[in-house]
Amino acid sequence: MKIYIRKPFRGNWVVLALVIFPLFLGSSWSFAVEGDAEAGAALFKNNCASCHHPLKRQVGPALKGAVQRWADAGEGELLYRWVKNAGALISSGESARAKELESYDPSVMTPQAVNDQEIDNIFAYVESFVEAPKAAGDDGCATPYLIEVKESSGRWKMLLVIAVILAFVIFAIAGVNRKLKEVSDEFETDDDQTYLELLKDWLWKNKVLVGLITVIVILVGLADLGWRAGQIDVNEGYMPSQPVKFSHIIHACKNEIDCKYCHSSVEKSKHASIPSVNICMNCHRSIQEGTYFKGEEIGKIHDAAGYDPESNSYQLDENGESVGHPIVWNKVHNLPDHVYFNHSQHVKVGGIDCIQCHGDVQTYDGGKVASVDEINKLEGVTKLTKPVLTMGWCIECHNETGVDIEKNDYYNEIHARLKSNPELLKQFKGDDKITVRELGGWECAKCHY
Amino acid sequence: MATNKKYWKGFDELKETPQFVERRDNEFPAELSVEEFIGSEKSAAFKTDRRDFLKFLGFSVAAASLAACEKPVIKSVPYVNKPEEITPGIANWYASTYYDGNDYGSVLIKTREGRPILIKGNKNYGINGVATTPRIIGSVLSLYNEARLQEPHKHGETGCVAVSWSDVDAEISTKLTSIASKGGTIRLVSRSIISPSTKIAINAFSAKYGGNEPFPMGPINEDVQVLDEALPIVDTSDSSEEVSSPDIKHVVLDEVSYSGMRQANKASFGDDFIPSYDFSKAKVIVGIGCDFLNGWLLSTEYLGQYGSTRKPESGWMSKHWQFESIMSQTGSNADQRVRIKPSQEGAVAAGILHAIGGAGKAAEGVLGTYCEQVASDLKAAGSSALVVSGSNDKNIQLIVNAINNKLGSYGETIDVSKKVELGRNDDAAIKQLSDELASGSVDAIIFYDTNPVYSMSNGSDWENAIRNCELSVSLSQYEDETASACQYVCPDNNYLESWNDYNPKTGHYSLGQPVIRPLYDTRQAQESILVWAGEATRSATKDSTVCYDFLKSVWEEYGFSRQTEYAAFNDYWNWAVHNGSTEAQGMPSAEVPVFSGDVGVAVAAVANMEMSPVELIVYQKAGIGTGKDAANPWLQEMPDPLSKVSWDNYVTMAPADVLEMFPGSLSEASLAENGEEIKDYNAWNALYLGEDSPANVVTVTVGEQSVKLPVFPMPGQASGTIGIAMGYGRGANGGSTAVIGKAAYCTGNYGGHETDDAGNLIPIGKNAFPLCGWQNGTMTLAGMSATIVAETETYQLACAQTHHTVMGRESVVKETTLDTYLNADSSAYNPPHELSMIKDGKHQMLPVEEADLWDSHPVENVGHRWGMSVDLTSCMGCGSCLVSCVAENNVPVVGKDEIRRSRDMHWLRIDRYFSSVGDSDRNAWEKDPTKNTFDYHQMEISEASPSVVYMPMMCQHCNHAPCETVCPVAATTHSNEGLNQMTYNRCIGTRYCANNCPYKVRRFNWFNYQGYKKFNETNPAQQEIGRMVLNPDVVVRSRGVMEKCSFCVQKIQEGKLVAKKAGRPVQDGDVTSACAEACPVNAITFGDWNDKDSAIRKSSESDRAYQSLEEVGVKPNVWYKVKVRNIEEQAMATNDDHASDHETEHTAH
Repeated sequence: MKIYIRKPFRGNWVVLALVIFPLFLGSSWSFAVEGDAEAGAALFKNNCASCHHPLKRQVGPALKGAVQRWADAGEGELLYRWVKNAGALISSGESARAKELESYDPSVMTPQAVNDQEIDNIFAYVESFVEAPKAAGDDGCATPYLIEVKESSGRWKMLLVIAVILAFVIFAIAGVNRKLKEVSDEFETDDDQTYLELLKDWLWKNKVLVGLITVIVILVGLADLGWRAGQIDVNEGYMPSQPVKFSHIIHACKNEIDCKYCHSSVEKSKHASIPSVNICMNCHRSIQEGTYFKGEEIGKIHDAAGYDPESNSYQLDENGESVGHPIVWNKVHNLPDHVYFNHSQHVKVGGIDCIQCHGDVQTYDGGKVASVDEINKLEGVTKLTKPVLTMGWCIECHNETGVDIEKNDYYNEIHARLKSNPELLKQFKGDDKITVRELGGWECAKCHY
Repeated sequence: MATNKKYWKGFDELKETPQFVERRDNEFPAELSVEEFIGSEKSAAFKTDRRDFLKFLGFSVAAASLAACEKPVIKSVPYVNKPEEITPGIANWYASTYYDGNDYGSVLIKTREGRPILIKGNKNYGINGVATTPRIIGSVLSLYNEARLQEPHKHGETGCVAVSWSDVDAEISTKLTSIASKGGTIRLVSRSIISPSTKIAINAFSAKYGGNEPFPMGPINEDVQVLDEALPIVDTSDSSEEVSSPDIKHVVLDEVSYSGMRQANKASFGDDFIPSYDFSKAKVIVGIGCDFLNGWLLSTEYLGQYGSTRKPESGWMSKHWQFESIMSQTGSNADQRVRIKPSQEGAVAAGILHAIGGAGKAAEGVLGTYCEQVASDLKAAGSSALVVSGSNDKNIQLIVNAINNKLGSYGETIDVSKKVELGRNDDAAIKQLSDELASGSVDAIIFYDTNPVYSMSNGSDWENAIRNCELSVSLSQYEDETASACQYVCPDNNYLESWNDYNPKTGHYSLGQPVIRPLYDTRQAQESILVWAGEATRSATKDSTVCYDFLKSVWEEYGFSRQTEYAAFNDYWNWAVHNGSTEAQGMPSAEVPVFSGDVGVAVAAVANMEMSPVELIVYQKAGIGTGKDAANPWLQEMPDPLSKVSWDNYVTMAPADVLEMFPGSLSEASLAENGEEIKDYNAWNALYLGEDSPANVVTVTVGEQSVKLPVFPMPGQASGTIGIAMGYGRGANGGSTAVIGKAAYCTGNYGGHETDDAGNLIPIGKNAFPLCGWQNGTMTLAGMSATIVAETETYQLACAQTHHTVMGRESVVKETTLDTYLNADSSAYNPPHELSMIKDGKHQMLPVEEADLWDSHPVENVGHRWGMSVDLTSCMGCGSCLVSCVAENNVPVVGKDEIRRSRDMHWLRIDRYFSSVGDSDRNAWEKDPTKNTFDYHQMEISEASPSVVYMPMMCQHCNHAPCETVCPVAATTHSNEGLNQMTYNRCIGTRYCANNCPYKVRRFNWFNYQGYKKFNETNPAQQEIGRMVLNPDVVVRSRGVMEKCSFCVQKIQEGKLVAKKAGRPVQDGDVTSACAEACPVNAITFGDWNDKDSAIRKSSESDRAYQSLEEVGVKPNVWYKVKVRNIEEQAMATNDDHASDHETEHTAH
């Protein structure tokens, strides 16, 4: 069988050779099938992609090479029947390969309403399929679900507490021991000193050392307290577990879905908004199994949507209401109630990229408060120093960010008013940059009301 | 203008009583004890010593540190299916309509994520424009009243049992059928129904059970091609087979009856209609006992119309005469106000008719003089005059018709082609029903949105009779007085959950649409009626579309078919729902009717009206109205515009009457305590009561009914009259449960409801309806002959007005006459304040802005500068702005006890100043206060007949704000947009700023109102459901911070953002404050002062604009505009000698 491929390979020649090479190996075929890979691509996405991948095994086997495998078995023509209705082919017993496959995988493909030409197109696409460079394993994305949940940092504290208790027990036992000795008169000593007095003596003898240690301990303690005070309400790295193991790596990086597709109100509203279940269902009605957790995690979405994948329908209760229920997510970026923040002001008006505040979201799974250091490593961001989501961080950015006053008629009007006051304008234009701060971005009632 | 006018807020200020002086000098009198701060009556029993304090302190530090370690995980719950039109964080507005039998208004409802949170007038569509009332704005909170019934239930022998809708429907239908088949009597009692679709539904109901006459639908005018023409006449042929056809009737029962007016119109023009009044065309307005700005007929429409005639910039102003007994809100805005007793209303009407040359009868004495004056004004105005009367007496209304007819007002200020559909009470029918009930001849009775057990003067008779009916059903939202007497209660939806239509007057139709899914398992009353009529079947969910489908079918049949603009019904329907209202096409022009009333008989009848020594008037208060929303804490806490008392009703009496009744009641005790000092004030002691000291209590008796209430001495009240507000004493039927809502009952000082000896909750105030009666065949609310007996006990009222004083700085308000305004230079009525300064080595008078202590904030040429102007001429003190501010800014409700301690939290208050000319005349009168006679000089006696100025007072956002300079932590700062910003999270509660504020507008947040149990009963934020009303864009402040008006900074930011996103400058109107939006007469203008074309810039540069307390030099961003009265100069009584004394005094300060 000879595959006529109209569309030249775009991939590197090694891959090309790898694909073409076997074709020449199996050159004993006597017929040629013409397939339109472009038309096949659409057919594949609509009919096959939810279970098959050209290169990877998913629900069904990887399809690349299937044509040849069937041809090798001498049943090249039966492939069409196999695709249209695999069950029928098995039960007909006409195909040895079909029997073989049945023992290999019990799940049978549902009958497909495609004609021979379409099947040719599909396989033409499958054979021509070359994953973009990243498909070869290096897609530039992090590996999802690798980040382990950190062990509770309370372990060493627990050990410390146990140590203190043990020390106390040791002292207690020692005290009892001493008393017992006293009672039995076995304990002889010149001076009748208690342990406490002995300790005092020792401390007095080494008073310089002890004093030094005390000072150090106090200083360290104070420094620690100060540092901790500075960390109050600093939430960098906060990454709560979520009810669904959603991964930004898969969605934003691997599948290149735009942030605004799911966080759709980011340009309209103060909330970027966590997507509602119906947005998930736009894709997950067809993508019913994931690479990592199969149907388990996506099943949670189906459950929340009240969707039954078996019957491909939304379920209603006896009152005709959807059986769906909302997903209760754990909020990641929390601001206190007295802070008003508006996404649309920053994204739509200010033109700030999401990464400026949220970091490289596509490199981690769930939502995470990126640290300012992480963010500073990215390209095209304003470099800041204060911890993310603190007020210092906000006003630092408001101080550094310039407002492009000419591009928006709103600011143009403000500018025009300023221009009528040359002295004030000079003050503003001192550094040829009008910052958010200079337009009131540091004023309390811009964010607190 | 130099005048010797004195402005005073209460009697104690007028007389400078010792209590007042003490309080004035000690501005923050209400100390907060540690016990109170920590918490409860129990802990109050313990003594907190230093060690305990340290323990508390230690524990708090430890707890705070612990709390800092573990942060709570905050949940975030997105939609399952996000509705397309909802974007979280962005408000949706829906057009709808409010109607409760008393108030009507086209409104816009703001919803956030599906929760209605704010209501304002629909400025583009509807007859009321932006005008609403505090009751309409506050109604959004009533939606979240947790006392609303949540499912249908049945009162049986075993008590109250919840039943399913299907069971209720089956049982009621069966009973109705059996009653109908035996020819029984069925009565449906409702408020005035103005909904065409509801009328059709009721007719279908009547037809189903064999009613042999259609329910009265209102006049059907053959010429008018409008909806009501086509109301179906019930085909009664089916019922002819019945042996005896059942007696089915629909009876309308409103709290306030307009029956007399309809009867008078029937006698005058042959039709029992109420015409449309157009106050905007009236050059002279005469009100006789008519509170047309508050609750009278379509008062929301009249507010806007009246307001449009009170703009002196247009070169003219209406002249408003008011003859009345109590000081009503309308009367307080009148140019000339004459005090009469209710029994004199007829004489006044007849006197005016006589004076304009009609067949009236001249009024006697001083009233005659006034009638002559009114008549000369009326004659000058000709057809641009309007006389209205609030009386329910047919004869008085007939004479008023005769006056308007004589003046030619019909066709000019009165439009007879547009008939008002409100106020459809037929008092004779009510009387008949009352008799039928008493005789036990009513088999089945259904109540829809009416509460006769509460609102009828013989309510208890009704209650007993209802219990004896074979079937009694209530469609109330609450287990109210009537519902609790009925067998079945089938709770109606709130109007914010319902589809409905309204026809307030001929040719105008509006729609009500739901803005939230029903909160509970309730069902719209129309659906109940349709189901019982067999026209629809109840679907099992609350998303029932029965009413929606029905309404659509009605509009398709009668509305769509009569218009030509839209070809497809859906387009028409969407347009109608979007706008909320529509005008019918092809209305005929107004024809002036022929007056054929028998004036002679009417004049003779009113001449015989007996005058009682004490006459009672039952009136509506601005907040509570008829009492439908008596459990609404926003409305309860809103101070009454005149008395400034909140959370109570009381008996208003003329100050002289109070004096006579309680001659020096407290003086003996006070004398003993205070020695000689108090002697000077001895005679006036009774008047201060209710403000500083507890009020005296009286028992008012009319016939066999009596109520015991505190007395409030009301300046401007006619001697020999007493006023009691209706709408109080609600929910007394509940025993120990809060049946109409927690806020309707008295609460104790530490929270919790107060109970009487039997353990029953005590409703706030007393029900005044039992004191009302019948006069001349109609129900009346005014003129009942009463007796008053002084009691020895006292009662503490919560009066907000006297909380602050102007400290003798009377430059706070300015007023003038229309004549002066039009003809004189602005320096005559709005002189700039000048200071004596040394400049260029010379001693000279310079304007106050020349003297600056501080560097100026840049105001011009810097972007925005937000400013506000308030026109004191237009402001009517209605209180809409106050309630709107509460709703927009999550202002906490604090309850009566806190109000009494001057701890009210309202960001915007309406200062009511009484003003009166010098006291020289009074001294003579004091020696011999003769009652019941009128004398021109008495008009000017301070307490007897003061004029009123309303002044909305909020943070003035001073450019030289004294609060900013004293804050030790810079929690209040100035923005470069001119705002005085308050940063709660920085505030440590020193209260220095409040001490330093010359306007007394800063409020200290004393308690955790959202959590502390003292506010459990009053603060809606303490309730799971009530919390839904909070505006998510404004933080709920916590204990220990200062708060104040922010100029609705959240709305400023929102408006700016809209402009920024659209890439255009902020346009005038993009940014408004909640109060400016709510003002029915556009008295408040808000905007960007730096926008040279903005309304606020122009307003602030007007000749009338001044800044309150200008001499303090704080340079506010709020301008007030001089109040202009349309009266003669001498009535303002300039006394230059006295005035110059006064000014010297000022300079000395």
